[in-house]
Amino acid sequence: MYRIDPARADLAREYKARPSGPHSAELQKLLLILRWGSARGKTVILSSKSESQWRLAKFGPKRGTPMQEYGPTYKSATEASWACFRARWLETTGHDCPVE
Amino acid sequence: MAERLLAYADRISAAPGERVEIKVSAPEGGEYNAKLVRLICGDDSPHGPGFKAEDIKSPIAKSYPARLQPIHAGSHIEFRKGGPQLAGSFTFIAMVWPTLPLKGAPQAIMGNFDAANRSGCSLTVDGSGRLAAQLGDSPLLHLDKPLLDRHWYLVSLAFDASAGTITLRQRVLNHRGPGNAVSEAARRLEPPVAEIARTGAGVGGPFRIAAWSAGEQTGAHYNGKIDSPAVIGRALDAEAIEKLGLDAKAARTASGVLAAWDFGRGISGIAIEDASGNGHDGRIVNLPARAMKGWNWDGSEYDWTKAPDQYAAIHFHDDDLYDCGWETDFSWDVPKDLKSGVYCVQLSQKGKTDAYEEFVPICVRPGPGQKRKALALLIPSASYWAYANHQMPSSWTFNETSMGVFETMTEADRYLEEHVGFGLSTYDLHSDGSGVCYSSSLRPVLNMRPKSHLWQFNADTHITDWLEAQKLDYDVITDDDLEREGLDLLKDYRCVLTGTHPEYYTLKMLDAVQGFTDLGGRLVYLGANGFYWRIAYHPELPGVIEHRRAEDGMRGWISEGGEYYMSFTGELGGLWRRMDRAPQIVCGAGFTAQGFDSASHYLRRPESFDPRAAFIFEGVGKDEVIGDFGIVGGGAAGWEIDRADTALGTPRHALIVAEATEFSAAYHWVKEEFNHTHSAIDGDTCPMIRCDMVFFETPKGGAVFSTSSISWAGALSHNGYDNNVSRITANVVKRFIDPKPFEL
Repeated sequence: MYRIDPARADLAREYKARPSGPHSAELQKLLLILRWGSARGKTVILSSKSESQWRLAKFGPKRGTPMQEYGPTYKSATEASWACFRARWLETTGHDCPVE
Repeated sequence: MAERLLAYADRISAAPGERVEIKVSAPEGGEYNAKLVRLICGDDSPHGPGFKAEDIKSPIAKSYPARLQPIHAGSHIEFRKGGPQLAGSFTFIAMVWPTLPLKGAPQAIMGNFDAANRSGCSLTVDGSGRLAAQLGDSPLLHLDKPLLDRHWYLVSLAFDASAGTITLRQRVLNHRGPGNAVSEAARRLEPPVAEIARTGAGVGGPFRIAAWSAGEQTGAHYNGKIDSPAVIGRALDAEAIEKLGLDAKAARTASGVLAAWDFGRGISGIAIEDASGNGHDGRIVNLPARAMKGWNWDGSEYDWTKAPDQYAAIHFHDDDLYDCGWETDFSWDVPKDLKSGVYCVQLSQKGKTDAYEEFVPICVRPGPGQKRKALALLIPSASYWAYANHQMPSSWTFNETSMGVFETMTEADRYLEEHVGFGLSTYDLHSDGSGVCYSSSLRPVLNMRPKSHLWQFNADTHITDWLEAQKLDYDVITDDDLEREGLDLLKDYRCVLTGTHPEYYTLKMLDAVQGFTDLGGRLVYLGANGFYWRIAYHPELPGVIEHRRAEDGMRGWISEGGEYYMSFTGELGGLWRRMDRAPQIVCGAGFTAQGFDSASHYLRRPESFDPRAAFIFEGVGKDEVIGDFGIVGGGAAGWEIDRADTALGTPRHALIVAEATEFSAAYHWVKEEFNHTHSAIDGDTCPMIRCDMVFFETPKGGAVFSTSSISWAGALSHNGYDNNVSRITANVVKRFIDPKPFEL
C-alpha cells in the first residue's frame, strides 16, 4: 500500500503546477489516496455564480443538513483545486502540506 | 443556502395544440413572473458560447401569485375506504426486512395510528431500531433487541381487548447469531382498555402500510421490505402467528381475517390487492420498489413473472418520490404555428433579499400531419430522467477516484444535498443504502436546466446552438415520444441527430432507431456511451422509468441477486450488450472508457481517405489534428468514449475514419469488457481506451456517423464555429439530409 510521505514537497509542487494533469505515476497514487472513499467528512469544492467563484466546504453529517463553507473565495477552478489539495493533504496525513 | 424558485411541467414534449401544465413553488410570497423563450444555448459558463434564448410572445407571459408548494416524499400504501377497521381484538402479522432500523426516528410497518391526534395503533420500528407498538397515547411497548438490518423477521402485534393485553413478537428467520431467534413482550393495559388505547371503531386514522397518518399527511415512513402483511380480527397466540405468518394462503382464509395483502399480484401496477376477499384493496404511493425478493425466495427462479409468490415483497423508502402532485399554476397551450424546438418557461421572482430564476424545458415536436423537416434532434429525455437530480457526490464512495478530480459541487448539487425530498436518480442510493431503480419527471429536475452543469440537457444545447449557428432547420423530438410512437416518429426524417449521451433505451426505442437506419434513415451519433442500458417506461404511469443495474456495467450501485427483472414490464434489466444488442450494432461504436480530467483529439486514419468517406473530411487537411480544443475537457474526444468492435456488432464494412488515443491515466476501461482483474486498464496502459470516429452505410441508402465522444459537442462553437469539428459535423449533416442514397 502506498504511504504518503508528508515531506514530499515535490509531489505537491507537481500538482500545483498542473492540477488537471497529466500526473506522474507517484502523484497519481497520492491523489488516489487523497480521493479514496466517501467525500462526506472531507473538504470539497463549491462552485457558484456560473462557475465564476469557488469556495471550500464540507458536507453535513447526512443528506438534508447544511454544508459548511470555509476559507476564502477563489476566482478560478485551478486555485480552488490547489486549496482543496492542501486541505486533503492535511486531512489525510495529519500534516500541513509543505507547499504554500 | 438560499431557497429556490422551483417548477416542473406535466410533460417534457408537446405538439402544437397540446396543453402543458406548469407547477411552481416560490420561496417568497407576492408574485413571480413567467415568460416563454426558445432556448438556443444554455451554457453560461465563462468559456462557453453564452446563454442564448429568444423571447416568444405568449399569453403565459405575466405575473402570477406566488405560493410555496410542499413535497411529500416517502412511499407507503393507502387504502380506498380507509382500510380494515380495528374494533375489539386484532393481530397484525407481517414478514419484514428492515434496512434502516437505526434511523433514529419511528418507522411504521402497518396500522391506523394517526400522529396528529395520537390515536389508533401501529406496529412500528422505534427510533432505536426495536420492534414497537404505538397504541394510542399509551407509552410505547417495545422489544429489547434491536432488529438487524437486512434480515427477514416474522413480526406481530396482538391486541386482546377482553384480556386488556398487547403482545409484540419477532422471530428472525435463518437465525445464526447468539441468543434466541424469538423476542416477545406483553403488557396489560389498565381498564378501560379501549379508552386508554384509544382504539376501536371510529378512532385512529386511515390504515396504512409503511407509514402512519399525520392528519392529512403521512409520517414515520418505513425503510425496508414488507411481505404478506395481514390483519386478523382476533388476538392470536404465537402458534397461530407462526402458522399464518409462514403460510400466506392460510392467512387469507383464516378465521376472522380482516385483510391479507398479496404484493405478488399486479406487480407492474400500483394497485394492491387484498387476497382475503374482504375488499381492502389499496394502492402504492410514491413508487416503492416492487418485484423484490420475498422472505421465501429460494433462488430457483430469477424472473418474477414466473414465481410471483417469491416476489411478494415491496421495498419502501422514506425518500421515494414519484409525483410532487403540485397544483397547476398556469397552462400553456402550444400554438398551432409554433415551430419545433427546445423551449423554456422562464420564471423569475424578485424576493426581499434574493432574485430567483427557474426554467422549465419543454420540447415542442411537430404535430400529427405537420410537415417534418429533413433533420431531427432526438433529445435523450430517458437519459435525463435516469440522471434526474442525481447526488453522486454524496451517494458514491468512488466518485472522485472515478472522475479523477476533487468533488466540485454546483449550486444545484448543493441545494439537493441540503434539501431532502426531491427524489433521487437511478445513480443514487436511498437513505437506507439500497439502489434507486425508478426515476420520475414529475418533480423539479434541477440538473435538466439551462445554466446548469454541462451534462445531458445543458450539454445538448451545444448542439442546438450549433444548429442555429449553421442555420439548419430541424425538428426536436424526444425519447418520451419515441417510446410512445416507435419507428413512426422517425420514419419521415432523412437524418436524426442524437444528444451527447443517449445512454438509456427501452426495447421499443432501440428497435425504432435500428429500424430507422435499416430503412434508409441516416443517424448522426453526436455522443458516447449511448444505447447502453436497457430500461422500461411504466406502462400506465406517465413520466417514470425503471432501471435495474443488473449483472455488469459501469454501475452506480448493484442490483441484488434475483432482482434483475424490471417490475414495470417483466423484462430483464441491465446492459443491452448482454442481450445481444450491443451499441456497436446501432451506431458502430460502444462504450469503452471514461475519464473526466481532460479530453483529447482525433487523428485521421487511412480509412478517412476512402472515397466513401471523402465528404466527411472536405476542408480538413490530411494531417490536421481534429478537435484539440473545446469547452468540455479542452478537446473533442473525451469524458466518455466509444470504440468500434466487429465482435460486438460494428458492421464489417464500417470505416474507422479517425481515432483518439491520447488519454490520461484517469481514463479507465469499462469493467464489462475485462473478465479478470488486472492493472492494464487505464489510459496509460490499455489499448482499448480509444475513441473511434465511425462511418458506415446502411440498407436502402441510409448511413451512420458516430463521433463516439461526449466532448464533441463542446468543441462545435470554438473559434466562432469555424473549426474542424464544426466542419466535419456540417459536412456529415448536409450530406445526410441530401436525399441522394448512399451505396451499400
